Amino acid sequence: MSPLPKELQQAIERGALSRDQLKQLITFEADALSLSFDDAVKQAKDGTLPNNYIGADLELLIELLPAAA
Amino acid sequence: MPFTGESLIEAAEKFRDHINDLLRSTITTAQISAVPVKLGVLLSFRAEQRPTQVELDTRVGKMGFYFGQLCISDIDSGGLHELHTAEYKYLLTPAGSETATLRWEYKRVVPPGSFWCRHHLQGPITIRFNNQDNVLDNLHLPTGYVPFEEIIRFFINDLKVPHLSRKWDSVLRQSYDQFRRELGS
Repeated sequence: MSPLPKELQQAIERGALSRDQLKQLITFEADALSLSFDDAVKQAKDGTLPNNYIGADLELLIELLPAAA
Repeated sequence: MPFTGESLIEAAEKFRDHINDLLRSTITTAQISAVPVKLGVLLSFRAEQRPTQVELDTRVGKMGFYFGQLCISDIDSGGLHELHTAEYKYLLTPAGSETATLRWEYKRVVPPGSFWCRHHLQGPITIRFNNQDNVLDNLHLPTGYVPFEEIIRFFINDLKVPHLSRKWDSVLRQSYDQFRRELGS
């Protein structure tokens, strides 16, 4: 998985990601599974993301979307 | 007794710090990090904020452990945030495998139209019922709420992951008794 941009890493450490920042993080993790953001959201909804730790983390991040500002 | 705080992130960080103390006293010095948004926090192992799994030496070889817990809060009349688990995923994956062998999962709210057990165990494991093979990935085997203390206990007792402290048993029991969460509702 490619490194996250420093600004995004720092935003996570500072606390309270914006919705756009969360979507950016989701996009990075989706890319590690060769998925687009939209494909990842669909697979999360369908329960068909890969059953590995990246898929698990990605699904949990997507669950956070409604809770982001 | 749930974790509380003046804000969701404060309550979640208390929980995170507790988990990290527990991990240091039991199976790993790797630490859980928080990914916070306005109304929820994901606690998971991360390296430079990318998800990762912790490598464990077990009696059956090296395995990766992923911990993911999505936390939300209820706010009481005094404005205090009480932390709750909305979802967890604990994965155990053999080294070099792309797929977890065991996945303990919980969702507080099941998606509309779904009726499966909220606390369940899945994995690419075949179970024979009468003359029919069923893959555990296609079932939602009920487990009840699985506290992460019990996951760590399973690793140490059953998989013989070396413990980092001789007090591991009492540390886990104390944590379980002190912070037992009702979960299940």
